[in-house]
Amino acid sequence: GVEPMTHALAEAGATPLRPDEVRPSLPPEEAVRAAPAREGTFFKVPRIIE
Amino acid sequence: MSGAGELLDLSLTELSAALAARRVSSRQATEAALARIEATDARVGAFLAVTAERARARASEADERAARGARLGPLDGVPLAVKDLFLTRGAPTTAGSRILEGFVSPYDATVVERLEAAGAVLVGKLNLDEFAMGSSNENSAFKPCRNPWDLGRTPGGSSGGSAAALAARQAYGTLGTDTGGSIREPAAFCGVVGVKPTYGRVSRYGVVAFASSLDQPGPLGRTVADAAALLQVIAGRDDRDMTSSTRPVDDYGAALEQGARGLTVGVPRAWLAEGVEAGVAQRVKEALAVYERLGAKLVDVELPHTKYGIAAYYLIAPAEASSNLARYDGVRFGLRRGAPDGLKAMYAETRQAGFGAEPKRRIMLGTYALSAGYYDAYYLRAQKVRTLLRRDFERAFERCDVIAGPVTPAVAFRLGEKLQDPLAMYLEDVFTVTCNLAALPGLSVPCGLHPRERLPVGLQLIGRPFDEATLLRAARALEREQGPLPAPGGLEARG
Repeated sequence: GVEPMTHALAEAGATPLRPDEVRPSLPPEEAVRAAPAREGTFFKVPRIIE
Repeated sequence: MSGAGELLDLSLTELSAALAARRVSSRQATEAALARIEATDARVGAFLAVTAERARARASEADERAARGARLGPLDGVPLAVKDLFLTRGAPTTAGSRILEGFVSPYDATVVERLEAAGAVLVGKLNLDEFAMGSSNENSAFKPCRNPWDLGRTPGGSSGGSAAALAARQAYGTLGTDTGGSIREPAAFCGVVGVKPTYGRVSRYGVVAFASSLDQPGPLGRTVADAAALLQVIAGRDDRDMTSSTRPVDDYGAALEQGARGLTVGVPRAWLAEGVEAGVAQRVKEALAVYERLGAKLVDVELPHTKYGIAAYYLIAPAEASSNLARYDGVRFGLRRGAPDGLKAMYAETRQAGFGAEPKRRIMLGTYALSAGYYDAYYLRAQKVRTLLRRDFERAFERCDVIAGPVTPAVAFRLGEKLQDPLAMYLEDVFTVTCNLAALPGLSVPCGLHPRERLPVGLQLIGRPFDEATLLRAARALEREQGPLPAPGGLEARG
């Protein structure tokens, strides 16, 4: 049998996982800036639960 | 205008030297590029957005640094442009699609950050096939891009604008992306150098995703040295892209002038047998003869599974695209339609209105290929073909250093010529998809003009993983022997 190529990078260990530490990332205000509809730092969408 | 014309004919490397010697300023080069875009882009259609004021400001900053003797490096003050698939805070990113029309990203792609940290002056965002899906730039939702060698023909795709802008002398270097040939094919059609780095060599962070196991950003330049200079700046590990490799980046300039002597070039004879137009085959064979004359050895190699490349690619790429394009749903960014009718209506109407025909086609194909009952037969099987292709190349690379062949079956075709049958367009990729599937680096370097049609022909070079340095060295050896292509004439006459 042939193994599927599930990882395009052949080298094992070439892409180490980083420690699970919180780092600064995109501020919520920035993240919602392009939203078609928003309320504060929430994306506003039509009702989800009928 | 001839002064500006000569300035625009400089290669990126030549301009950089002139900037370093203060024979010319970044403001001058930037104004020349902006004027050139103004004078020609109504006909070429390479740019979706021109960031003139920002470019002027950055050019002034570059000149200020040069005056202080504090130039940042070879790209400082050099006018560049990037495919509109790279997120930029200073300009909208559309991915060539109505579904992202007007979208301004809150963050820059890593490669954009690296270019700007190196002092590059970005003059605008370049036209492309929608979501990088296409081989002719005709799938752009906004306007087609035309080949500066013949405005009735395609520049190739999906990075059509990236190649056309160079041929039209609108910028000194550009970035594109390559998933199945989208840098190499337009580079071949437009007579410029285009490099698809090894998967993992360049960060995909901030690059609008098409097929995540195939996509790779890469440089285009009018010369090999130009492409190498761009690659040097954008390559390297990025912690924000977990598929980027920690392998150190080579010094691409170091080996560039080593020549072809001592290289073994593998030739897959089946690639030149049939399905390649005679004039293209002739130029490719002449390039191989040049390599022999320069002291390289030619060996025949067999890549028996490459005939399954198109079938595997057009399952895997749409499958991954169907997942990546699920995010365009009207919720967080881009177009929103149908919200008053409820959530599902919003999804359906947004995507119906926002996506063009080719993305829709591929989303449907990909969703089907991944669905329960079909996943094993289609996607999984295609992923196994990748392993077989990788093994073909590993075997070949035991006997050679680079593999050489055509990029495309023919020269640039006419706009509209292949739009009747999407599958006809897919066949343009027959020589390029194998690189992406096997996760190898590849490039296109001009190898002359078609004997009758007088349109550029590209030679494809494929290398071992992370051996871009040898590809660039081989490409440079050919370039040095052949001399540069003439500039396309058509735009000047109507100046």
